[in-house]
Amino acid sequence: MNKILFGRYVPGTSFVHRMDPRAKLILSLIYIVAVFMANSWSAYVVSFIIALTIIASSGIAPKFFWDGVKPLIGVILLTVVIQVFFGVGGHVYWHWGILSITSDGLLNAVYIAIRFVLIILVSTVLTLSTSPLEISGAIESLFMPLKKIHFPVYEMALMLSIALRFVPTLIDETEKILNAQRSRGANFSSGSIMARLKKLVSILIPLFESAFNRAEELATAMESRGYQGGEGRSKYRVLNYTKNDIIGTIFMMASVALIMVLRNWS
Amino acid sequence: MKNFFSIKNVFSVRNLTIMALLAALDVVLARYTTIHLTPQFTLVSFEYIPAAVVSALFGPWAGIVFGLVSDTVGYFSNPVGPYLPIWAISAMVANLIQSIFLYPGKFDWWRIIVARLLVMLIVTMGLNFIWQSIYFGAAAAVYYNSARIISNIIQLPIQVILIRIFGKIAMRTVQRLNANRQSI
Repeated sequence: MNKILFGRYVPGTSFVHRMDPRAKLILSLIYIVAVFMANSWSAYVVSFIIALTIIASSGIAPKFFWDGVKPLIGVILLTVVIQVFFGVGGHVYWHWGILSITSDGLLNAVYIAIRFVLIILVSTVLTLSTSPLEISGAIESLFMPLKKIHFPVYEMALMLSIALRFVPTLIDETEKILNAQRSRGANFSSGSIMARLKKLVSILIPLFESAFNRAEELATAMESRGYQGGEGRSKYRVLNYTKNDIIGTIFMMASVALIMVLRNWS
Repeated sequence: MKNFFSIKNVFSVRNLTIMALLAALDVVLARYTTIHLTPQFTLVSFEYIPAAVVSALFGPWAGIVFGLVSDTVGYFSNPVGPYLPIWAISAMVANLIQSIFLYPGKFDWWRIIVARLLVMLIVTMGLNFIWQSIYFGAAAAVYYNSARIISNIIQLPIQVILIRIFGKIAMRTVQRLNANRQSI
């Protein structure tokens, strides 16, 4: 189970690490929306500087960010190629059948690639500096106003926490089932699609059975300890906004305002 | 209709733990049982099974919450790429559609086929196309969405068969667990 890669949280004490997970989540989403609104070189340069500032204040090695972008380079390049050859508008440089290279198509391709990378970088800061359980607590707290319209916020948060806790357990169990099948001669990576499909279905049944049994054991344990819903329960980890959150919010609001000014100015 | 949207007893402790474990299973299935032809073209995937089972057994509210939870758990347990919570809306709508046709535990062939076709039309071709257009631009979204639609059409017969099989297995398991509880 120790070898299982779960989440990408890198513990630390940097400025970003010490921020409240709610603030990190909201500010990341605000940044993503702002990057979508950017429509000029100057706005993208400002967005890039903001991303670099956030990365620097997270104190995490650049290698982690490269690891975040690397798996998606193929998708980014494919998107750029499609945008270059199918984008329309502006001066036409080349034209053949349905394919064409235009000035607007080229510009949009570059913008999309930059936007893609910037959003991945900031998402990576969020996931590297915030543990999945902190995210779960943040989502619960941010959804709390929906309690007024009877949205099951506590239940959703509990589901999130249990699911996050049991992903490594189920991965461990899957590995055991796969190894048991392999020791009987099953090969999951070769053969025709239908043959592979049949082999995969054979691991689904024990996995389903295991998930239901664990759920039943957990429910029994919770009930025997007197769990009666989330209403009125106290918390082990209490979230508090700090000075870092205020500084982070002011920085992000100023940056977004600048991007909006550059957007309208261009 | 009033019962259909009733939230009463949907989130009992046992239902909650089953949904949570199925959300975890969703992530595991995405990791171990997906066969890709290209990064954008999934040939075989079983991720839809837990969502369909939850929507069919526990109804629309459970399906909506499950969509949000499984999307969030999926991203934060294996965070590759950008975090775009807007995709959770697709999962929530897909589960709502499935619960309309499959709840409570109605696994008739026609119901499963209509539910999956509507998910393909409304979610894959509708909502996902909108999110992809915002993110990748319209030209790339057309390509990626076409690949996804072809993948869904190829998978449809397998999806229908597996939802029926695993839906019935899940229903029997829940009934067995209920019977065990009552006998204690």
